[in-house]
This record gives sequence, structure tokens and C-alpha cells, in this order.
Amino acid sequence: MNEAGDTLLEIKNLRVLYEIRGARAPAVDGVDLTLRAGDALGLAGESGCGKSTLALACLGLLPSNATVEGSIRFRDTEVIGAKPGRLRALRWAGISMVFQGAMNAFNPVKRVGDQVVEAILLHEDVSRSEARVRMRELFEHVGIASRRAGDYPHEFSGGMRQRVMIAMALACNPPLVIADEPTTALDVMIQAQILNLLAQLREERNIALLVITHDLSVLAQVADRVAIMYAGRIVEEGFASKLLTTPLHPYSKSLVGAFPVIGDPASRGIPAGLPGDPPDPAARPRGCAFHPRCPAAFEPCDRIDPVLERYGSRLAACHLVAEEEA
Amino acid sequence: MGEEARSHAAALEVLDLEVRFASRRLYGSGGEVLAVDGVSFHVDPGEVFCIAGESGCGKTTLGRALLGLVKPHSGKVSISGLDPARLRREELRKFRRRVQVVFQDPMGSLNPRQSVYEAVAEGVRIHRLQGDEKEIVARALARAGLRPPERFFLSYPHELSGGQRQRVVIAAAIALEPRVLIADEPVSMLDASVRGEILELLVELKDEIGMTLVLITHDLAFAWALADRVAIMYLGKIVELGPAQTVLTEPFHPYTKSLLAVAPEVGRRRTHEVLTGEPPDPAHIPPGCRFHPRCPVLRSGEAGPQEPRCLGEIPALEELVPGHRAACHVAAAGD
Amino acid sequence: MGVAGLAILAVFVVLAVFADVLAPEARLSVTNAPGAPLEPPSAQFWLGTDELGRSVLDLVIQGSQISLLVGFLATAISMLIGALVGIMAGYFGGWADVILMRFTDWFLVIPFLPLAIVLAAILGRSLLVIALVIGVTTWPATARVVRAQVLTLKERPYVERARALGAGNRQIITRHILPNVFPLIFANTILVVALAILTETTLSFLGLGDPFSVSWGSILESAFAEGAISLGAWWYLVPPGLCIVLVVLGFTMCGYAFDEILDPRLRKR
Repeated sequence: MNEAGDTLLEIKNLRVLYEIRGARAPAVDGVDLTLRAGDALGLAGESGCGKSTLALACLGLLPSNATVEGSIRFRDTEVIGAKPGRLRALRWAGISMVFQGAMNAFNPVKRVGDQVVEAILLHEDVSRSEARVRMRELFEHVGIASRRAGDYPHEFSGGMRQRVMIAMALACNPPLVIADEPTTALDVMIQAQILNLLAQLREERNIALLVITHDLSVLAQVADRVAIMYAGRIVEEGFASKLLTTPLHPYSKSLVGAFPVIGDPASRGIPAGLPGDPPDPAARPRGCAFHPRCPAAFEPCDRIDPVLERYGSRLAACHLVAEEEA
Repeated sequence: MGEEARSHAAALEVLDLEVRFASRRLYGSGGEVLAVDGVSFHVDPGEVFCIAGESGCGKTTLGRALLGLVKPHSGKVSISGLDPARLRREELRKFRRRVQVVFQDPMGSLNPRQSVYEAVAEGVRIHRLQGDEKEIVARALARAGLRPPERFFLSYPHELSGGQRQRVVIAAAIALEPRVLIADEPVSMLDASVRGEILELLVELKDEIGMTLVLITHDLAFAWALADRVAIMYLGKIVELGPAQTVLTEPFHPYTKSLLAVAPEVGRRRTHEVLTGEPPDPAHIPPGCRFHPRCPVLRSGEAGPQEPRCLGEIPALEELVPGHRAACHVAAAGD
Repeated sequence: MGVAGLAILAVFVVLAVFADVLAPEARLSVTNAPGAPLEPPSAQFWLGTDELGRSVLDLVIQGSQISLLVGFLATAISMLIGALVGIMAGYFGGWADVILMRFTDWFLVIPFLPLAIVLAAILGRSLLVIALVIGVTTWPATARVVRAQVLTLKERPYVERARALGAGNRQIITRHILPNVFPLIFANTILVVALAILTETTLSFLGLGDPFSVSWGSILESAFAEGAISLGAWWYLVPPGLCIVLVVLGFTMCGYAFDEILDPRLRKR
């Protein structure tokens, strides 16, 4: 098993640039992140903030028009620029991923069990019958009766398919699993089941989890630490319980505010939204990327780009916070 | 009794509505599925009414029946006194003006080959609204927050953000000045920071135009934030109905209680008492109370003397507290 | 790519339109041919001569008229019927669908060569017959493909929304279904045009075409009849075939470009 406390993933100054219309635009613009064995980190932000790009970068799955700078170290392997052989060894056995919408990516004419067996055979040097045994074990682990391995994807509900996806991600016993929007499009009941499952698996196998989502309420259930991304950078990071109740950065505040709390009279009424849209990566505003939408923007915000500063157990990149905490 | 008296003032009324579908399964039993099974409620003018439930509960089908997009098997829908199922052609078209819709998927709701102008003008032309078409379209777009409207006339859906697309859909709807706006998960596919604006827009328009808003959702937090009253649906029936504030804080029905127990909250981590089993399947409806196979109250034995009724008798939606109704034998007996 | 395709087609269309000017009928007279039989290419006759001494180049130019005309006509018939049947069946469903699709299946099964021969025998050998035969045997494929697409489109939210707005069937079909199924129809048209021209060639080659007009197929027919292969008269065989290939290529390239023009999402900005 993994020793708790081992550093698994260390991301330093990651930048990912895409070639768009002749210009190079940063989807990820300078991100530092560390994940230890058994950690559960939530990465939150809206579409276009770079969170999915970051996940793909960790697995070396970016398209050819992407330029990657910085360093992503998984244990002792440097992912950026790694040879295909190294990457293949890393994927699934080192880091595995449950992709967004993966539950809809099943081959509709193949039995579910066979698809999982295929995935196992691709990565492990085992015989087909051994792979079958492992497949059934995995199914039991994620709460699916192993006799259902002979069914086709359309006979599974959305929640069950997602569980199979998780089973596949666990097939090679990786110490780190990245889950991109694991519960989007699932009913609240099923969502709870999936989140329970993730928490349970984490405990049993000491797996580190990187959960990427725009839904902060999901992170509250499954993450210990949360990092909020905006325009390719982390703008706030801290313990989930604290950050989600007392966010510091104005963007985090508005994001948290967008999730009403049932029973809380303060949540009655329309969740305050932010005007405008996230910035075009190719046209980043001067100074703080968030300032055009920020309700609390003041003097230095449109000139000086704030840096991530530490405030106790919290990190935040905001001039206002710097002033308030000073 | 009170229902009849209210019906003249109600913006929308549904009475014993039943909607059936031919079962679309690739395997297993064919036959018909009762997606909506005896639903009755009314909505007051200017109210925000929320229909909540998980997938398979029939809320989407109910929405379509209100819009006249599906024909009910039996029962009555009444919007401003008109029932779409009983109207033909010209009258149906006039009816359509009064009830408009906003769907869940902003991208799917717009024809990719239609410009924004065309998308909004379509309704204007169909109903031959009085006035200069260009002006009406511009005004609708502006009201929906797309300013200056002229800038968007020649845009296509793929050039817009999710929030903007939804605004176009809203503009197309309000251009007709409907009495009732049915919104089926209007913001669930939008980014969290954009949702607030769109919801704000809907509520503002409701007040401005004097519309009634019917929201269909699976997200109870959403219902908490916006709804005046909420109806919880399960397997084709309404199991609880009342003011959002009381239904979501002091629910009577065990299903509502379970839903609230698992609703994720940003503020704290919850230990889940998750309902076992898969979400309800409209093709296999249990006898008696539809919820009984999963009911924690029944399971724990707390149902006591009511147990045989739960298994065999469909509970009626009864008023347990003024304005607050629930369909549960145990809850009704306890009162 | 579209420009290149268009250019190729333009060349052939111009040739076809001005065929009578570039290669006057007089020079193609059977009795009064300008050159010696089966002469290889020379300065005077760029593509040599046929067995009657006529310039092969003139023949090919004249042939373009018929080949293209019949190709286009047949395609028009095919696409019109196919699209109409496909849209009606797909959109209205129910009995209309069942009836139309059975009708389509029936036509799918008809073997085209026997039909062509039968029709030629009954209606006489003419270009119209060929166009008809091609049209009638190719529309079912289009109908099926269009119907499948329409079935999908029918379920899209924007179609439901249009209905909720109050649009009637005719409006929905013309404004929402047709524009979105058009690229598919057009792509199919490209395939059918190519097929039609090839088919015309085949039928003429088999002697079912109009014996008095010159088409690329009839040139090939004559070439084979005169034993051009064993005589080594490549100038007689290659040009018509090459023309067909170029025309089909031209259409395919245009097809790509057209889709870009029609689909706002693919336009380069």
C-alpha cells in the first residue's frame, strides 16, 4: 500500500498554452500543486478555467497543439516530455482518470464486463481469465453484482455506469485517481452513492483523489482541501471545511454563494451571480484577471497581478485579502 | 371545494392529469408506462411554483403536458381557462402564446443554423404580433440582458456563451409576453457564476410582465432559493405539496426527508443515509404507496398499524397542515 | 480545396456549354471525317482520331455535354424523390413512415441493369430514359439516410421549442428540419452525381444510350467495339475515362467547400 504522507504528485509552475487563431493562449497559467498519498484535493472552477486541462496534462493527454511548460512530477517520473513508454507505464497503474461524461463513452455493442477486461489486459500482463477474476472483484468493490458483467451498457443506469468507470480506474491499483465531474448529470440520490463510494474506496485503499468539478457542494462531501481556479490560475486554496464556509477571495465568495443552503433563510432569494463571463485566455485583463467582474475591485487591482500569499492554512491571490489580513 | 373557487383566479390549474407513454425499452416488457398518474394542483398568478423530483418521476412529462406538447390520457389542464388538449390548430396556436418554455440545454434549444434574430423573430412572425418586427426583437433581446441587441442580430448560437444562449431562448419566449413560463432546469447546464444572473432575469421578468413561473428541477437547493411553493414528485404522483419554506424544512413525506438528507451542502459534510436501490422505474410501479419498497419508515418498523395500507392502498394527497399536503399514510395518521 | 474543385468543374461546364462552338457538329460527321482512321495524337489532332477519322478531342468535348447533362438530370430526379420521401417518412412517422419505407425498400431491391434494359426496350433508347433509370434506382439510398437524420433532428430541443412557440409542421420542416438535413442531402448529391455520370457511361457503353449522340460512355463503347485495346489506340480510351475521374473529383472537392459555407460553425472567421 501507499505510505500516508508520501508526495505523489508535485506540480510546479505549470503552464499549458494552446494555439488558437495564430496566437498562443494560456489555458493553465502558472499553477503549483502538491498531492500526498491518501489526500483528497478538490479543484473547482467554471468552464474555461483550466481545470480539465490540468488533469489531462498530468497524464500527458494533451492534444498536439498544446505547449506545456513547467514540471509535473509523479513520484520520480517527470511527466512533461516523458517518452511514450514511460507515460504508458504511468497511466492507469500510477494515475488513472475518470473522464467527464465517461459513463456515456461505453461501446454500446460490447458487454460491460468485456470492456473492463480489455482495459485491464491493456495495462497489465495477465491472462484473460485472471483479468476476468479481477474484473469481478472490482465490480463487487464498487457495489455491482458480478453477474451484471454480461450486460450491455444500455441496461445499466447512469449511476451504475459511472461506478463501472470508477472500477475501471481502479483496475491497476493506482495510488492516484483523477475524477473529472464524477457526478454531473446524476440524480442527487445516485450522486450521494457515488460520493460515498469514492470516500469508501479512498479509505480502504488509501488512494489519493483529485476531484475536478464546478459543483462546490460535491467537493464539500469528498475533499479535504479545495483549490479554486480562475483564468488558469489558483486564486484560493485551503481546507475544504474552512474555505467553503469562509471563503476569502471575492470569486470564491461568489462561487460559494451560488449554492443555496436549504433551511438557511439567508439563502432564500436569488443566488448572487457575477456579471460578465470568464476572460478569453487569449485576452487576459491587465492586473488581476478577475478585476473586471469583481464587486470589490479597487486601486491596484487593474494594474498589479496579485500573487498567491499564505494566510495561515489558506492561500489566496487577492489585493483585498492582503489588505484585510495585514 | 376550495379548488373550484380558486380556479377562476388561478393562472394554471391541473386536474387529475394522466399521461401515458408506449414503453421504449430495448428489452424487457413493452406496453404502456404511466408517466404522470393523477396529478392535481394549481398555481396562483405571479407565483414561482417548483416541481421537484428525480429522473423518472414524471416532472418533465408534466411540463410537456402543460405546454400542450404531449396529449394526456385523461384529466384537465387549464391555463387562463384553456386546455391545450382540447384545442385545434388556430386556437392551439393562440394558446401557445400564453405559455412559453425554457429548456435545460441552451445549445440544443437553438437551431445552429438560425441567427439570433431569426430565433427570436420566429415566434413574432408565427403569431403576427403588432408592431415593427425588428423593434420587437430588439426589445426582447435587450430585456433579456443582451445589450446592445443589434450586436447580436447576426450572431449564431455557437458564437455565444452558455448564458447568452439561454438569454436568447428567454428573449424568444418573452417576446410573446406569455402568462406562464415553464422553465425545465433552466440553469443546470450553466456555470455556477452565471446562474444567478439568469435566475435574477427570470424573476425580474416575472414581475415586469406579470408572468407566473413554473420551475422544474431535481435540485432542492434551487427550489429553496426561488420557489414560493414546491411540489415533490415520485413515480408520477405528487407526494408532497406546500410552501417551499415549510416543505423543505419540515417535510412530512419520508421521500422528501430522504432527498433533503442527501442534498449536498457547501457548508458541511454530511453522513449519508442513502436510500438503497436504483431510482424509480416508471415501467415497474409497486402496488400501494409507490415509495414503500424504499421507505425508511416502513423499513424501520415505525409504520406500525399503517403498514398494510402502505403496501396495498395508494395514499391520497391530504392537507396535514393548512396549505401543506402530503401523501403518506403514516404522516396522515400521525397528525 | 473548394476553389480547386470549382475550377475543375467550371472547365468542364464551359466545355459542355461551348461544345458546339469548340467542336462543331460538322467535324463530327460520320461521313465527312477530317482525318485518317485511328491516328495517334499529332499537332493537328491533339488526341488522335477515332476509327472514322474524327478528332477524339472533339468527341470528348462534345461528349461532355451529354454526360454532364444526363448526370445532373438523373441526380436531380434522385435527390428530389429521395429527400422528399425521407423527410416525410422521418417527420410524420406512423403510417406514412411505414408505407413510404416499404415503397423505398421495394425500389432498393430492383436490380438496375435489367430495369434499364427493360425501360430502354419499352420507352426507346434515349437520354431521358437513362436519366430516369438512374434517378429511379438511386433515390432509395438517399431516402433512408435522410429519414435517419430527420428522426434524430425531430427530437432536438429546438424543434420542441419551435413547436411550443406555435410553429406548424410546415414551418418546422422548412425552417428547422430542412436546413439541418441539407448538408446531408448535399453530401449525398455529390455521391449521386458521380454515380450518375459513371452509370450513364456504363449504360451507353452497353449500347442502351441514344445511338445518335456522343457521350463519354459511347466513346468508350466505340473504342472497345473497334478493338482499340489490341490496336494500342490508347488515345481513344484514356481521355473519356480521365474526364470522368476529373469531374467526380471536382464534385467531391466542391462538396467539402459547400459544407463549410452552409454550416455556420465551420466557417473560418
